[in-house]
Amino acid sequence: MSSLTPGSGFRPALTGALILSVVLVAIGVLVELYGQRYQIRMVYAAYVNLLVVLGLQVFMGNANITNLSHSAFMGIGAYVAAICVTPVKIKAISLPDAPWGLNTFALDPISSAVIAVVITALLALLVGLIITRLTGIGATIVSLAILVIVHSIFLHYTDIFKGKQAFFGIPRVFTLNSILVVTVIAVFVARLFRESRWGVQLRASADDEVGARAMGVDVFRVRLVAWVTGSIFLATAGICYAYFLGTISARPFYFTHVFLTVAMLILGGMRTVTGAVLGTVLISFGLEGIRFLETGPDVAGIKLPEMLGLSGIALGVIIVATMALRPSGIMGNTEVEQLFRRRRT
Amino acid sequence: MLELTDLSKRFGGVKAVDQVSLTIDEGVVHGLIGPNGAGKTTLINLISGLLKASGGQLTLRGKSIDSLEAHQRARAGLARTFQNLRVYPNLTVSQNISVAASASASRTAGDHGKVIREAIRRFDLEDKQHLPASVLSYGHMRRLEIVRALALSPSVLMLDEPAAGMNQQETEALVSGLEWIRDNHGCAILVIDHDLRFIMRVCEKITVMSMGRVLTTGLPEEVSADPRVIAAYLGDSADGHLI
Repeated sequence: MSSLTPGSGFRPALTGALILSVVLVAIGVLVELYGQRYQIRMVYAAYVNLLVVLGLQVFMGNANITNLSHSAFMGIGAYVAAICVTPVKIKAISLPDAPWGLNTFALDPISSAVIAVVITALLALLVGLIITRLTGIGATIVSLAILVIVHSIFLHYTDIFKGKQAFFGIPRVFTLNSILVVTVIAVFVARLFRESRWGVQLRASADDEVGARAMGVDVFRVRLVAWVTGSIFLATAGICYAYFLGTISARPFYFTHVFLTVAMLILGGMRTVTGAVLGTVLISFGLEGIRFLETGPDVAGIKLPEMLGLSGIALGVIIVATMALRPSGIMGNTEVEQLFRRRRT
Repeated sequence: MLELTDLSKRFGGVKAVDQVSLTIDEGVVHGLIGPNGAGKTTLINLISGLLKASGGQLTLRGKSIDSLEAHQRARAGLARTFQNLRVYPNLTVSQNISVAASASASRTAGDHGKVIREAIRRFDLEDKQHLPASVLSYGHMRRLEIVRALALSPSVLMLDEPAAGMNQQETEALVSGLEWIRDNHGCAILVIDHDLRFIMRVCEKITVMSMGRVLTTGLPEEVSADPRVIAAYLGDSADGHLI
């Protein structure tokens, strides 16, 4: 029965997720013990991005449909949680004209997070009904339109979202430890989804949609399941972001972030969860190095020139180079535990 | 088991399939032959729901399946292979099979896994289960498509040119494989192939198509002696029966 029943890949999946979790927790603990405040913030941000990249992997990686709307869903999660959780006293100042009595109540962080996840998932379900029926360029363009629509709403519906100004006063209830727990759970969920009946059927449809339909796969439905599951990751990322910084604005949920997270997934390899983790870790640390170079530091006594914009160039180059040299990313189809098995034999 | 009534498909002004009526019976290997462009693959695409019919009806075990989508027809028991292979290259052989097995209506049946494992052995894929499908040889990909279709526990198995590109030895193995499916799975098998010797060997019943229409249906010896069939294959349009 072993390899033929759906979910038979669960045992290696658990091993793989465990290996990734150990690495992620180790990085987190090391930074917590020896890192400066700045480094803790940087690692926290990297882990928020990891949640986004994992959410991307669930849909984009398994369905092989490029999605560019993910930062918008992250933003929806962040704003909904922020609106629910921010104390009434602060909202009276920051959102004096909020409709529907949004500034007259405040909930605890957990209920706020649950509401944020549910609302994000429901909106994703609506969008998903359109996106899952499209393929290739159609789906990607619609996702781009969604990103622009949501961003415009954040910017111009100032009574609720404060537009270009910061939405402040969100209780800062999360620490690096909190996001470590969330990230580990996310790694396990993403990996188990990949090996589940839905995940395998979705990957079959990515390889050959007609061939999958002919084998009984309800392609639209498995895509929708992955799309909504991915949106839960994205909402969670937004919530973690808001609960740590205490302040959000529309800008971080737009194109720069879309580009950054897509680059992470593409570099690591979008077909695997290991690729999502690897790409995020490499680019997060790599960008720190590049930001250091941007400022024009002294290296071995030589004063380097200021190189503003280097990080943007570097991300572009990473995408181009990966696409040209290794289109399926560093990991290709290989998950981390397969690496070990291969070495042993 | 599967009944086609006046099934038609028009592409613009071209009648690719023109009022085809046909019955596929349980436990019978049914051949479908005809010159290129006769409409054989289009007919299988209509039956499996990948193409929408322009007219006519389809019933499976007496129930209409006209309104079912392709994936619903697959779950209802219409399985197929493809002339231009459609394995999932990034999945392993066993994952390829599990896609169909997990969609099958009988996936919860106790012996479903056993039946599939037996098919894997029978079609020589046992030592290849953990390989990605992309590295298989052409012949093994064809076999994988057959086993994958079997994993749906089909009532009707449709094979589109299963012997194409196979050598003599592989064709022999395929013949006995098809006989094994017929005897052990109790499904009807509809086979398209250009290799007439292969078709004559495995089929108990043969339907000949030409220009979208059914020319004749009969026993292999009847069909091979039919002058209309010979004319269709030789392209002799002067024959009065063809027009």
